[in-house]
Amino acid sequence: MVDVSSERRLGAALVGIAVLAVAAAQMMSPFAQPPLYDGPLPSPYVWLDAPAGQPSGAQSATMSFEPTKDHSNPLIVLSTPEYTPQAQFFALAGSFTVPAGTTSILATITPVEPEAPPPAGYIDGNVYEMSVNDQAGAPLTFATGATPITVAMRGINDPSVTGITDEMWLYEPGSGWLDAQSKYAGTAATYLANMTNLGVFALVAPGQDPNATPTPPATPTQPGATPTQPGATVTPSPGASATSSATSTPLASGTPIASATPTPIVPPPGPGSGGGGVPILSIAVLALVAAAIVGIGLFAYRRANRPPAPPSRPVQRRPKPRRR
Amino acid sequence: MTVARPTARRDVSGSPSLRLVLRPILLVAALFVAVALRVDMDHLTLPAMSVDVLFAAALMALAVRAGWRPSGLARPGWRARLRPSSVALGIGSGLVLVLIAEVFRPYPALDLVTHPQWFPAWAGVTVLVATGEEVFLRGALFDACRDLGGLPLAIGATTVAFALIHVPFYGWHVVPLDLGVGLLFAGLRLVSGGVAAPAIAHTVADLATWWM
Repeated sequence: MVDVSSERRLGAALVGIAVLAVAAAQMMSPFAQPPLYDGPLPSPYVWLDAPAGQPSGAQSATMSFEPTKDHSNPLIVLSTPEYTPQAQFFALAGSFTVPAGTTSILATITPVEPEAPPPAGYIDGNVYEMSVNDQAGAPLTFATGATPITVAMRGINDPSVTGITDEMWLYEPGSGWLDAQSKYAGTAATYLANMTNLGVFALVAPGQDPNATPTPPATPTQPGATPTQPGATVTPSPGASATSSATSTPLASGTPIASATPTPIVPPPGPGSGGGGVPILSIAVLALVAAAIVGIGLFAYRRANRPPAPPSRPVQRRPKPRRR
Repeated sequence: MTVARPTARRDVSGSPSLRLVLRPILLVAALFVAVALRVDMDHLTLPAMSVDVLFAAALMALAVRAGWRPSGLARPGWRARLRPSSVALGIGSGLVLVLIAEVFRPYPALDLVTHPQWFPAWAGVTVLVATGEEVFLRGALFDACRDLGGLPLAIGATTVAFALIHVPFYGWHVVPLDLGVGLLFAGLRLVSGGVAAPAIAHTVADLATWWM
C-alpha cells in the first residue's frame, strides 16, 4: 500500500529543491548553450573529400538580396543546408559598401579544396569560401566602422566531448593562413569568429589528422610570405587585399582582424576547466546536495508515514467491592 | 489517499524476488546498450535524425516489454487519459527550466541559425526522444527500482542514469546540470503520479532551445 499524498509531498519538495540545484548547475556550467536535455544529434559531417567510410556531398549555399536605398546591404544570414549547418555567416545591415548601380547582392558559401595546408595541425572538416558580391561578381567592400561579420563553422572536434579545440583560420592568397581568433560556440563543434572581411575559411585542429597520412610542413604560398603561427595575432598587410582572389571580399584596408570584435564573444573556459575533463568537484558537490535532498525527503516521507500511535488503553477501574 | 500498487507479474523462469532484482539491472544494461548504439550509429551514413528516432522507439519498446503501461491502461477497463493537472505541471516546469537557462547562463547566447525547414522534423524527433526517455526512465525503470528498493533507489537510479546517458553527446560538463534536472523530473513523477508531467516538461525545455 502506498500513501499517494505523502509521495506527492516528497515530489513537491524534490521539485522545489531541484529547481535550485538546476539554477546552481546552470551558473557553474562553462558553456552558454542552453541545456538541450535531449533531442536530435547533429547529422554526420558531410565532406567535400570524404575519408573512408564518411559521407560526402558537401553543399553550397547561395542567396541574393536587393540593396537598400542608402546603398547598403540588408541583413544577410546565410548557412549551408545541413543539420547543423557546417558553415554560415551573418552580416548586419550596413556591413558592406554597395556601389551605385548595384542591382543585386549575391551571398555565397562554397566548399572548396584548400590551396595550402595550415602551418600547424590539420584542417578539421571542409574548407569554405564565403563571399558577398554584386551582380557582376565583384566583391563588396566592408564598410568602415560597421559591425563585423560573424562567421560560424562546424568541425568534427567538439571540445565539450573530445577536449580538443579547433581554431578558425582565413586563407589569404598573398599572406597564407591567418588566425581568425575564433571562439567555441558551445555546441555542435561549431566555432565563431568576428571578421571584417570574408574569404576562404577552415577550422584547424592541433596534432595529426586521424583520417590521413601525416601532413607535410607548411610552406609559404608566395616568396616572402610567412605563414602565421597558431595563436599569433595577425595584422594582414594592406597589400593583401590587392592579391585577394576575385571571389573573396577584399580586406578593409589596414584593419586588423583581431581588433574587429565590437560584440564581445566571451570565451568559454578551456577543456581543463570543465570542457572536456570530468568536473569532479562540481559533480561531487551536486552529488552531496542530491544526497542531502533525498535524505531530507526520506526523513519527511517516513515521518509522514509513521504508523499511528496505538490507542491508549482505557483505564480499567477496579470494581468496587460490593457491599454486603 | 491510499491506492494499491499493481503487484509485479510472476516470471515463469524465476521467483518474484529474483525477477525484482533482475528487472532494474537488465533495464539499466539495455539503456546503456541503446545509448552506445546511438553513439556508434551516429557515424553511419544514415538520414539525419533517423538514429534518434530508432533510439526513442527502442526505449519505448523496452519500457513496454518491461511492463510499463500508461496509468489508465494499467487497470482493466480503464482508458488512458491525460490529466490537465499533469499537462499544466509539465508545461510550467518546462518553462521554469527555460527561464533558468535564460537567466543563469554564464554569458549571453550566440546566435546560430539552423534552416527553418528542419524545424518540423527536429521538433518531432525532439518530442519522440524526450518522451521515450521519460517513459523508460521515469516509467519502467522508476517502477522497477521502486519495487526493488523503494523510492530512494528509484529517485537516485533514474536521476544518475539520466545524467550519465547524456555524457557521450554533450560531455561531462552536463552531469551537474542533468543531475538537477533528473531530480526535478523524478519529483514531477511523484507529484503527478505518471510520466506525462516529466515528459511534457522535458519536451518543452528541449523545444525551447530552437529559439534560444
